[in-house]
Amino acid sequence: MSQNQAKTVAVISDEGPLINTKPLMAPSVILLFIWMIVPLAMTLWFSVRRYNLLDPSSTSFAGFDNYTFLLTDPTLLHALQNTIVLVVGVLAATIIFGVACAMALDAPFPGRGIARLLCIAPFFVMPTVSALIWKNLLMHPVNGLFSWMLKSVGLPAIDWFSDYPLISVGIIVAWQWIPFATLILLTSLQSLDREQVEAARMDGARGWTLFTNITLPHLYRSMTIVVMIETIFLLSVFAEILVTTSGGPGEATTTLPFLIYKTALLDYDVGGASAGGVVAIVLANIVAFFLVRTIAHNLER
Amino acid sequence: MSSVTLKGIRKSFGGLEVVSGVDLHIKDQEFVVLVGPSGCGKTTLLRMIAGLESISGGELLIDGQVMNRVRPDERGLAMVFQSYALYPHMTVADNMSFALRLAKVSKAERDRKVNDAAKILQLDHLLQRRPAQLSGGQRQRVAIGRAIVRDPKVFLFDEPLSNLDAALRIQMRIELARLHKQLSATMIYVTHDQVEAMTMADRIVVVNKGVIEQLGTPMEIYQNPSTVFVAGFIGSPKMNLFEADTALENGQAVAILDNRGQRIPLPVDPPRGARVTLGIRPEALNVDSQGPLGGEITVIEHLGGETLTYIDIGNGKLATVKTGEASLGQVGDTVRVSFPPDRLHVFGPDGRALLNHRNH
Amino acid sequence: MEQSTAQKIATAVFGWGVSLVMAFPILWMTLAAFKTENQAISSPPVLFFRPTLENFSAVFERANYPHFFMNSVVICGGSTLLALLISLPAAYAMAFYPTKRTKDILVWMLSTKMMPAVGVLVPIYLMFQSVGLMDTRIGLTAMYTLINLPIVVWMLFTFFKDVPREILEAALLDGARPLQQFWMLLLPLTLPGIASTCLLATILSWNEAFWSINLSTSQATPLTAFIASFSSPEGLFWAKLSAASLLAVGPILVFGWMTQRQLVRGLTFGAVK
Repeated sequence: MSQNQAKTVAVISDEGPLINTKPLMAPSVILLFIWMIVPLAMTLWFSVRRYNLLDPSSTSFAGFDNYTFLLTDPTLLHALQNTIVLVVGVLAATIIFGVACAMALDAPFPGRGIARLLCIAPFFVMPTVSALIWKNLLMHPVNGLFSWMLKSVGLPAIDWFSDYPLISVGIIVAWQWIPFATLILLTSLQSLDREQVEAARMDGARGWTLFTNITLPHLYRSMTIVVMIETIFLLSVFAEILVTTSGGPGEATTTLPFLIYKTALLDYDVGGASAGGVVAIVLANIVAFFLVRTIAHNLER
Repeated sequence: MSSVTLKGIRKSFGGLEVVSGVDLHIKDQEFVVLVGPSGCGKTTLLRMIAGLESISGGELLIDGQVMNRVRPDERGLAMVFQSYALYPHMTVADNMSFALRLAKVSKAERDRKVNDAAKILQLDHLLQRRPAQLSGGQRQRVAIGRAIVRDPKVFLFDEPLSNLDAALRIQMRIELARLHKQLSATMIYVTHDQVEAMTMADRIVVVNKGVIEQLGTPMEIYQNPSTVFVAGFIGSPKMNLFEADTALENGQAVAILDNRGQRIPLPVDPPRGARVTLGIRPEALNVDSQGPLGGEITVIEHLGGETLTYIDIGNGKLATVKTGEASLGQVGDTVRVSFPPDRLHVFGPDGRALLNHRNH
Repeated sequence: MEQSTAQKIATAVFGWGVSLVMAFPILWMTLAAFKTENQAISSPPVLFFRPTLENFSAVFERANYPHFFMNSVVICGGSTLLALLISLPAAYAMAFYPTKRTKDILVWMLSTKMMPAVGVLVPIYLMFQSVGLMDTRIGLTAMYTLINLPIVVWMLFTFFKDVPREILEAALLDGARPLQQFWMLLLPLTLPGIASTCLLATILSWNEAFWSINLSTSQATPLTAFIASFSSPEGLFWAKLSAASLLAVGPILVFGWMTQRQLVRGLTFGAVK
């Protein structure tokens, strides 16, 4: 019988599903398939070509030259290192502050609804806006609010983007993503079984003990999801870097995405940029593998 | 005329057979209750009749016409779901007239039918409300009303009372029975609650593990359960069931109970040396100092009008005795009980009854 | 458990404190938008001032703001609508007529979302150039449609999955054909879900900054890329930058707040509800 799945099929008749689902599925499946395959194939193809847009007539097969060049170039290593530092740093910050914000907004207090809205607002600010606001209004070494605050307590002003470029970018990105972590952890907190908390209280758990023994373990699963989803997005952080430091000073904030952008659109080296693209895809897929597995597992329930 | 006939109906999900060959003829205007434990296949059976599940084998006939491949809405059925399945975004009136609207029935006709059904179910004042604004009992009525409006040949009920509280359930039971009389419709009703089956059915179909265990009127099934399963499933409190060996003593077949070796003369001759199960309804047991069963009273439950006394007849096996307001004694007392010979049920090693009682 | 008054106050202070700190840059930007340029860059900062609207009029007149705003509106609206039209049938089919492959298809769709944009920057850029899509609204609309398609399918799928199957069965018995089921039951029942799906798709395309910067130069430039152009001249344009930013962020902030509950479901592919 073809309806082995009948238990999950909502509406069937003896001759199988009442409608043919293929035409319904086709548009999205075909589009996504093309969207996935064509650029990927082209990236792979370009990555083994010698191809510079400044001299498009002289393209030739390069073998693994682009990769060899890229992988032996300290720029790539540096960019990878920057990428990892940025991703890990921002992840740590969003988890820690995300938990703190979620805890702060979980307990009822007057005006909690408005406070929640305020807290998640940064997530909806477009990256170019948040980067420029932070860069100018807050972190500007002369006129920024932070420098005034430091000066008013007698400390020297900090030239954030010159002295601590990667950290500064990290702060901006973290500010944008803390609300995401907060939102998910808050949702998760609200599904925490109140009776379990009451029971733990009866057993004498208070404050910190209650938090580490009941709340944190409950949040663990959502934290993994936050980490995985953020990783996917953080690996492609681009606009924040472009409008604040343009990868500098030197290569201090050149991450993998920015390096590829520079190679392709500023140096016009299609082959080299494509090789970098392949590296980025491989990197993202390692994370994606675990994320997809977690979500697929979730689908079973 | 609206009869429903099932001929060797089967259903399997993958390799698992959940309904294995059911033959059943439901007569016009009959109220048939399919009863059985959860997972016995009764709901699947009902859904196959409704057309919500495909039929893996056998034939389904409604009014003599094969319905296996007919669309659900063209089978002339209406179904009341366990969760009521009301359309949450429509008013009560719209819920009830939805099928008529799809069938392109005129507005005046729709209103008339909805109002008629609403009157029968006392829903008149709720017609403009939405399901979320109704109580459980009211939603139940709307679900029934939605079925009535369609004027179906056959009503199907899938555990319709299981989401109601106990008091409401009893009230709805009575109303459904009244409705059956009033509409003189054929009704097929699925439940796991044997009380619902006993109180409402013209005929009960006891289903177990995908097959029909027994078919009959409530009293037939109560008095003459054809298998140990039916004996244990129908009736509250449960029938006392004791396992025993059999022997021939002085030309009389006797059962020797496992517990203390009490001997009980058997009205039938079981196969030599066969293991049997004896069944006695709790209300058939009476105090009798000469009785074959006895032991210490361990628990007494006073239910007001009736009293249940549990007697340990050996090895922790309890016999339940049902009496009126007075109990048999006190906890700790030792009592002996007997029963009229014709109230003894004997089931053979295959679980089937070894003799059939006449109606008492 | 009863809380003492001190605990209650502490909870409120903590909650409000955290929220105000998080929202501070936005609030500060909002203030700056109503300052004069001199007030905006003054240190120590000016807290009390006569609000002015001159930045807004300047942004509108000189920076050609409406042009970029309309680009954003057209591209976001178009891509959201397109994604919805393509996704609805697929999500419907997968939620109500699942086959053995449905789960694999869903997971595969999700995995296309994992492709890092930079990985395919080069071929997309070259393709856009060769077929004349560079710096066109159509090009960016197509781009955003594809980017958001997996999320939209997934979100719709989870909302459809929430519809009790018995309701559809009841409709089937009542004689509703698949298309009628869809229009008369599913659509009204899942409208809130569909709306939040649209809102999320709109938010994501509105704030998208990688493709908008790389695939547009002026004609089709949406707000994200337009704001990026403020990065070069420092200092002097803080108030105007703030005004332009406020206008760009304002509408989407409202959308975001409207859909915050369903947002989690969409962004986590239904893994957290």
